[in-house]
Amino acid sequence: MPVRVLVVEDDDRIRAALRLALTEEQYDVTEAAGAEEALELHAESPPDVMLVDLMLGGMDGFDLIRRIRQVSDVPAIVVSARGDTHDVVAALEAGADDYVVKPVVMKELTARIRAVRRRAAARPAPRDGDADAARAEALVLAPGGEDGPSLEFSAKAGWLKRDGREVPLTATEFRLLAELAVHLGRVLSRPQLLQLVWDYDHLGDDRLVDVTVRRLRIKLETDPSNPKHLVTLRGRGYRLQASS
Amino acid sequence: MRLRLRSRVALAFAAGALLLSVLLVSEIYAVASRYLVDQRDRSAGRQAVVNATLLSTKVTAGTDPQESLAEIRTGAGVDTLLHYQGGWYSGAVGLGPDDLPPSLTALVASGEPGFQRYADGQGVVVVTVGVPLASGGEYYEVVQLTTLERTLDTVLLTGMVAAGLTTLMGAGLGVWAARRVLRPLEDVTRTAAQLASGDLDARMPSTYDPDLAPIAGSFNAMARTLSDRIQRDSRFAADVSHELRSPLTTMTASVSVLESRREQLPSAAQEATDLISADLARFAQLLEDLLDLSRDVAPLALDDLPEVPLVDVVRRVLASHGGDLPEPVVEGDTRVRGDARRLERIVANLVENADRYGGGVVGVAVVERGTRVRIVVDDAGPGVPVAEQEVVFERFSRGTPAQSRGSRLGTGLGLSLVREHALAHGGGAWYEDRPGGGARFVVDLPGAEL
Repeated sequence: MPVRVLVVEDDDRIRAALRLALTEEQYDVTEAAGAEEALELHAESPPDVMLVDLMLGGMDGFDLIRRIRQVSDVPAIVVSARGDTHDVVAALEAGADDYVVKPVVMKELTARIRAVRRRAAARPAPRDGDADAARAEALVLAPGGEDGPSLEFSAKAGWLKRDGREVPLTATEFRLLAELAVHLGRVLSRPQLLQLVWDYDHLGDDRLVDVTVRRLRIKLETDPSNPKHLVTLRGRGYRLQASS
Repeated sequence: MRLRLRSRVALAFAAGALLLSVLLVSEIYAVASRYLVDQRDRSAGRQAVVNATLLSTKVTAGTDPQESLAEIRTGAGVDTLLHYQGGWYSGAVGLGPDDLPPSLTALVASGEPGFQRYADGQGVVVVTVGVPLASGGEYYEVVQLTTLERTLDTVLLTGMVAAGLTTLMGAGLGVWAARRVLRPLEDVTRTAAQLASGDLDARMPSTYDPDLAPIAGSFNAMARTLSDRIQRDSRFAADVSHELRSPLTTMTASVSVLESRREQLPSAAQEATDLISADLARFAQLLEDLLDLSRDVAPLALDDLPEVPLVDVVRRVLASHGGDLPEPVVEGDTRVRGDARRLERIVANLVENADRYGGGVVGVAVVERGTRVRIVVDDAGPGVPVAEQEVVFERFSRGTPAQSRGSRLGTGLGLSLVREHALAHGGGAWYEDRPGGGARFVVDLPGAEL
């Protein structure tokens, strides 16, 4: 079954060209000229991947991604003419999984689509059936109690639970947490994380790591500005640690 | 040689002070000496007349002329001489009539009192007063003016010293005044230097002095215009690049369709597709390079940037380049602080340059050198002639493409971007001849542990 890609782009010619090129690569392309149309199409039937331009008439790309994130963790790649750091960071913080600056090389774009798809696919669908079994082998980051809420993560069952309630994670956030959990207590550098989480050897951008870590902290930490579990080691990378 | 403005002002003040004080001193000296000499002449004349009357009384009373002369009391430095009844009688020193000026003796002998000032045989200035006696004969007093001369000398010396001091003070005043006047100029210099070093927000301090306000005002207006202009230019370049990106996206995506259907095209269309495809890639790269060049040229604040292991950057670039590239030689700690993307551009551009003009990379090294880290890229080409070793780092300078690797023509911005990125990171880039032939490009960056 072909991968369904929703292209959100207000420039007709770019949209048409992307449709042609992606169709050529065997993708099933749906087009949206604006954020509102994209939201409707997404509500009708969520695509496998979204390509989002930031400058749209009406609601912009940042808001679109934020709205989508409230209801779904569909992988979203920003395709924008603006490559300034603050645009990249704002888009990733809004919930985008990746960021490409125009003009895109099709080979690179399809590589990125495949990578976000792999991340999404690597995440197991939540299984309610053997919840007890999943819990038994879950990683307990914080036992809960007076110090703060309990925090449990199960890579196998695909959930992060805070005080027993599941915290929604995007595919990228999940993959990042899973890799850090496998290397619990050990430092992973940004290039290592780009390789492990994003499958990028050279497409990577350190900002991807930094912003995703920041987003994950908001979901993980009691005080994201003073992290206890996902800590930064200046100049070296990041480390996940359980409460002592 | 032109003197500095400050020295010239000081010199002018000193010259003015010297001229004024010399005029003043010479005027004082002239007046004082005229007055003092006049006084001395009068008192000498009065004294001689009194003594002559006394002497006349004594000799008339029959006292011996020599004794009478000895009894005459005179001040220091005064010699006396009496001519009485054909004989000459002299006081203590023993002057003779030959010591007197003949014109004076002739005048006095004719019955007229007179005086004359002149230098005597020893060069001492004297004034001689001659008075005819009532008893007949003549009386002369020879007054030495040594004391007066000495007084006048003292006056002159004091005046000269005062003039010298005044001149020095004038010079000092000149230095002070020059500094005072030049201070706003120093502000201008400092502010201009700040502007030149890239701080476009530098302005002169505002002032209420109506003489200085126009300078500060117009200087600041100029700085504002300049920084507006620079910002507008770089914003324009950025806007143009952004605007060009959209149509370029359409073109690259469309061309990729043509490329994947290349086999279905007639051969002329295939060739056309290849041409468009190649130049589209060049166009895209040129756009990126131009955007990079239009960005802020100010040095990065390295302390705020993360540590980047250069060896990782080099490995990443070599891996993405593909093909048969040598394994990099690594020595020591290769961490630097910087922007990973720009560091990547440095390495990628060096590798592309070697491909395009040097027949491909034959060696890459990342080595720690003291507190610096160096990236060295060697190629197999003919090297760069001495005359072009700096030119290659200029924008849009292109060498002759090597015969290998087809006709890929660069943007001509690669090496200038290498240098620009290196400078922004507090480093540098240069060319060396590779031992054994070929070109070697070296980028030298400060290490992270500074």
